[in-house]
Amino acid sequence: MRLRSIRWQIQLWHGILLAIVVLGLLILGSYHERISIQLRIDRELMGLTPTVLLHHFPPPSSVAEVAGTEPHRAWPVSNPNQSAPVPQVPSSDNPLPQGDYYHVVWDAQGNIIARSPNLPEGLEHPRPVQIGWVYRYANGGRELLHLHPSGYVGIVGISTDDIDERLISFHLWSWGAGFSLVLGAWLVGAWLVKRSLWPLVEISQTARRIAGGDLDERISLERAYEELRELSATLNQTFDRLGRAVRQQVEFTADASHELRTPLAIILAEVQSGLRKNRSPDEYRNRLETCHVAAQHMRNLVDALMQLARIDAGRERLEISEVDLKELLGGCGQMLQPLARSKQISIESRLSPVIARVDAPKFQQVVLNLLTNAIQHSGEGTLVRMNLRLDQSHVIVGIIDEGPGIPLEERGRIFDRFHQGDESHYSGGVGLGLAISRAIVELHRGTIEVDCPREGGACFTIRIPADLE
Amino acid sequence: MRLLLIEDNPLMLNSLARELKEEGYVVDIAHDGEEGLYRAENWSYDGIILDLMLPGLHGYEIIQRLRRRYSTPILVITSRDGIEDRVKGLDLGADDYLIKPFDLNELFARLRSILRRSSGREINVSRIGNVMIDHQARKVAVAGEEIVLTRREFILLQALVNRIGRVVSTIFLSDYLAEGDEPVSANALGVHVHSLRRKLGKDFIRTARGEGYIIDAS
Repeated sequence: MRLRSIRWQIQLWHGILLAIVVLGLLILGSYHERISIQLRIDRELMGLTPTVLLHHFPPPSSVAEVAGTEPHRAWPVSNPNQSAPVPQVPSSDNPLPQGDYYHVVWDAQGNIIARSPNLPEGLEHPRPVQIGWVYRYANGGRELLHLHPSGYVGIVGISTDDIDERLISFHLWSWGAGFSLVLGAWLVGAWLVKRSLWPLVEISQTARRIAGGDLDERISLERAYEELRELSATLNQTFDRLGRAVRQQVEFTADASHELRTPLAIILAEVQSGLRKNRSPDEYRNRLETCHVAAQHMRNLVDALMQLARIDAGRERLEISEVDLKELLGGCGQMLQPLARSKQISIESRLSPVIARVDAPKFQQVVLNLLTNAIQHSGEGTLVRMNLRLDQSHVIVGIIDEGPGIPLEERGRIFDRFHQGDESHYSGGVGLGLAISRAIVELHRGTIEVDCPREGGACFTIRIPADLE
Repeated sequence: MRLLLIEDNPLMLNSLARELKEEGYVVDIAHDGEEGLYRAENWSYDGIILDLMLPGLHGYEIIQRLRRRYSTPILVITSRDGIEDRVKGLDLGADDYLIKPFDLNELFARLRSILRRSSGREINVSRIGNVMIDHQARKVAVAGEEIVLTRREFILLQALVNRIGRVVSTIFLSDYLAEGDEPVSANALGVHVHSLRRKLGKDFIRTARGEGYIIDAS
């Protein structure tokens, strides 16, 4: 038995409590029964006195000096049976009790003048000091002792074994009932506890099925008890979130493998084609160049995947230093001039002098990525603008293009991994640039947002605290 | 045999198109789903090689739309390797499925297999009279003696053999033999037919006057 389980704890304590209550009741009942048996026996002893004791005593006339004691005054010589000293013994409707009664009578000189054969051993003259009737436990029995004013002494008694015998049947009955009661209540309790804990079992089974891979399984709230409904709802929400995270991870892995397969297929096809037969040097060169492009694409992809994996694992550390952002952003613009010029795009920079604490290479990566995207998505002869300013304690970088913009329904997802608009598929990107940019900005405790003004184009805004620890 | 290749990655597209041409197919290319569907619906192809992940129109959509009217064999190539993806593609009506990266020889073998099935042949060799055509090795023998055919001649022969017993129109053949979008002229087609007759026997290809050409089932 697992004593740490709620079920067994409840069972144990309610069982113990019940047993104590029943035991107390039994002890009380037993005491009461003993008293009532004693009273009955006392009555029986008193009822016996007329037949076994009183007719041995001298008549009242010879003991007139002790008139006033109750039994004596009621003494009818002629008919002792009818007027017993204790009026509550009507012998007609209360026949002489069966049992191992004994009696003995001494005269005033201490000689036994009457006795029953079953007198207990060692019973001696009691030498009572007081005239009258006395009940006592003595000689292993319950006795009624009577000192007659004449000096006669009589005892009528019964062995306590007889009392015990009567108690035994009571005990058998009452203890049996008590035990059955405890057992029955315990069993009913066990059933109740099991029934009320069943939802917990259901919850745990559901959780186990989810852990086993069935991510769509949920705890049913329809039949849940009020107390467990909230817990179940909370658990279901947690399962939802975990399920989404797992699914995202699975999707990401599938996407990553998908993205790697195409360049790999190209390399394989080109190499196989080159090996199939002898070809001219130009044909070989052509195939090698294709392989080179595909392999470079794979390298970029693997680099990006590794960086994301490091960020996910929390192993990507920022190397913060004071950086002149105006210089850094200006450098990014310079670097992308050739790409911009090839599409007759001009980059317009409006940069305020800002010194901030950032990780320079990673911040540069973000800016280069956003600028490259802006140039690639813009039409020929358009303008790409880059702003830098300080707003209270935040650095704000804006990169704005005049391209087609991003549809509203896409805006929430463009920072997702491998989310690509239709065009970007051709642009040579690996589909992870924005995801990495967001991760890096978030490492700087900043935010990155995209907005599309009504007149067209896309506006990316980065906000990071200027005095990062 | 004339094939349509629909693939969005330009490197993959060029590479596959080149290899398929080297295998003796006439290949048309499409860079995205829209273009691919347009070509497939407006030209006659013996087979279509289709990448599933396409910008514009997804491969599943193309299969579904094509299957409403055409039974052109479709070989799907994709980098999605999930069972559901495969099952869905096949259920929609694709004839076979190949996962990137694949072996070129496997691609060719699967292609031959779906083309063979669609033309009702069970093996890669056709025998018509004393002419034997090996579609896999692209060899032709007349009375056991091997005959050398040019690329165009072999493509023309295949076009007629695959439609054996049926008249094939000159308009169809002009389109079919075209390497680019420009059809082969009626004159040039006549030259190819003449040359085939010279090599395989005068009566092997019969002219259905005003309609086209036919190889009679013997």
